Amino acid sequence: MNTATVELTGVSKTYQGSRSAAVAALCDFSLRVESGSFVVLQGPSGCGKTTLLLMVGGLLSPDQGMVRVRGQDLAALSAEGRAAFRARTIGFVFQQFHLIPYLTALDNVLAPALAVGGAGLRQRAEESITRLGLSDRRDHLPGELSSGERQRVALARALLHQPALILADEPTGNLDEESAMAVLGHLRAYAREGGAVLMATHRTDVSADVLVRLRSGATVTDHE
Amino acid sequence: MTIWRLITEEIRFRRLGFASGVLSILVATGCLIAAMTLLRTHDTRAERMLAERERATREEMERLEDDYRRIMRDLGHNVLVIHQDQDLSELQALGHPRLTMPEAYAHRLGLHGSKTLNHLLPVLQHRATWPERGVEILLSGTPGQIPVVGRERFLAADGMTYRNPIIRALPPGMVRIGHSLARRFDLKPGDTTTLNGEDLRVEQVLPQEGSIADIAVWVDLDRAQSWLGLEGKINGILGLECICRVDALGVVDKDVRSILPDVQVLEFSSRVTARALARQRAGQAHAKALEAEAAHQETMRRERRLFAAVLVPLAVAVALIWIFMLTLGNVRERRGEIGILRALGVGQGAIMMVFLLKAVLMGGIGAVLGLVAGIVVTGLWGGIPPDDPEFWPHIQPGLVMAALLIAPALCALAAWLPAVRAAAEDPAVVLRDWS
Repeated sequence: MNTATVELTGVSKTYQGSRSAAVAALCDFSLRVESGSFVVLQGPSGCGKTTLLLMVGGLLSPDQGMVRVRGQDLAALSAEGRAAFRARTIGFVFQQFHLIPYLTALDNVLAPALAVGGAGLRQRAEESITRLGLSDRRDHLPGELSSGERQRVALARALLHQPALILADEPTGNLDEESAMAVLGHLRAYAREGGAVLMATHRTDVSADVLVRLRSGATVTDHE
Repeated sequence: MTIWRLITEEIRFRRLGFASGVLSILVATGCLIAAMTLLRTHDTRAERMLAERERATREEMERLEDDYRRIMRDLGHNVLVIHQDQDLSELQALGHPRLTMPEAYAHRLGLHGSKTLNHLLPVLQHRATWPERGVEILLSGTPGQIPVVGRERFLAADGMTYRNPIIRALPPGMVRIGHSLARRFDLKPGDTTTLNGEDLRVEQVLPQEGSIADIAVWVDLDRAQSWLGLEGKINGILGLECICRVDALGVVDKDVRSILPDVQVLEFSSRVTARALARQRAGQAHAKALEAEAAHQETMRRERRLFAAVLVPLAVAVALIWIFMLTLGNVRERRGEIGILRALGVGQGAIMMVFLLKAVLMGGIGAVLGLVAGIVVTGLWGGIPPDDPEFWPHIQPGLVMAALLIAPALCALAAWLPAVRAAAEDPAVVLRDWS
């Protein structure tokens, strides 16, 4: 059996409110994401999509169950170990883009180099920017870019280290239809090239290799 | 992409915050450098001023010497009129004339209007024992100066008293004590002492002369004559500030003996002595003035040191608090950025470095600019211009090095807690809050 890019087994996560009752974000959730697959998490707000992505990214620990990425049990790593693993293996794309406001588009794409350096990163960043149609915007600050351009910069940043997995949290949530389709197209292309994509979205019109419907902390549907 | 580039780009983006941090360090370092350097330049200026005063004093003393030489030439010299049979060897041995003269001699000399004597002071002096103290003294009595006819310019309207007597008459019941006796018995002006059974108040302690005068006890003439059993007698007439336009004592002698044939005239205080005394007095006055100036400078210096001791720590404390607040605000402002950098795999140490290096940069730039500002301030208000060769040695290399090293270190210290807080930000919480 091949090693899955992501493997979640019996994962549960409950948020303990300081004044309110505990909220179960995920309950006994299991999922397997193979390399080359485009997996979409669908569900309403608060159903645990972002929680799931944060746990797969090693930014949040499950209360129960196990999260493996490329065979690595994330719970077995220290915080710094998870950070290093994340830098090499996982790319993030967020709904709010999360670009650094004082860095140019090119420098934002190069931001992951702060965690893991390497030869040829600048050239790769420039190629990525060109491929995503931002060559004439490379020296602009995020505040000078449109929403679609910002998301493409964020996508280029996620791709810099050519990670095995891209986690995308509502990447089209703030985009017009044209930009949204462009971003989805890039993510699908990435999956076709062998990477795994795990994307959370409200959209119901997104075709995926695996569609996971979440509702109030539980998996409702899981089909290919 | 490096942390350094991230820091410099962020500084360019948020110039104002960084500039205010640099400014606070600039002020603190500038205060330190300027305060320390100004204190040193002040010391140098004080030394220069005192040296200048000493030089001026020397010149003044030389000028005074000439003046006194001229004055003494005009004033002539002081003489002592004694009985013509008085043996001079005996006078030297006793320290006073043994033979007496009628007290009326002094009045006769005054009434006849001596041409060469300005001031006449009849005295009766004799060695005696102070019975209450058991010591030998030179008991001296005088009625004060007596007027000389024709010297109206020195006399009051009544023609009998001097306006500004060289030696004041001693009122009954008062006593003047020689320096040696006063020191031995710890007598000060205003004290009461008993002599020959009479309580006398000390009017004055006479300055030290290094002669028999230091054991003199001066009382009014009547009292001295009574104690010595020599009523109506004196044994000397002091002629003070004689009007001798030539250096010959003989002129005075001739003048006096034309009035009092059975006396002899001696010089008792030479011009050399008078000049030396004058120089000594002038020197003492200048030395006192210099001492007062030095004390004043020292007081000023203490006040400035105290001011610096308050100002510098205050400026440093304010700067560090400001750096702390700035960094804390910067951490809060960049919370989302911290979250995404952590999500990208940037470690906690690197996040801390972002804030600490920025604080160090603030401290370094602020210290360099503060150093320049401190030197400029010293150049403007230190009283020693930068083109003076003595200006630059006042800037202590140790202080400069300490400021340049300690300012960044203290800034890093001030930024430490906010940096730790930044590194401790939970990226999951930040990203969820931002989603």
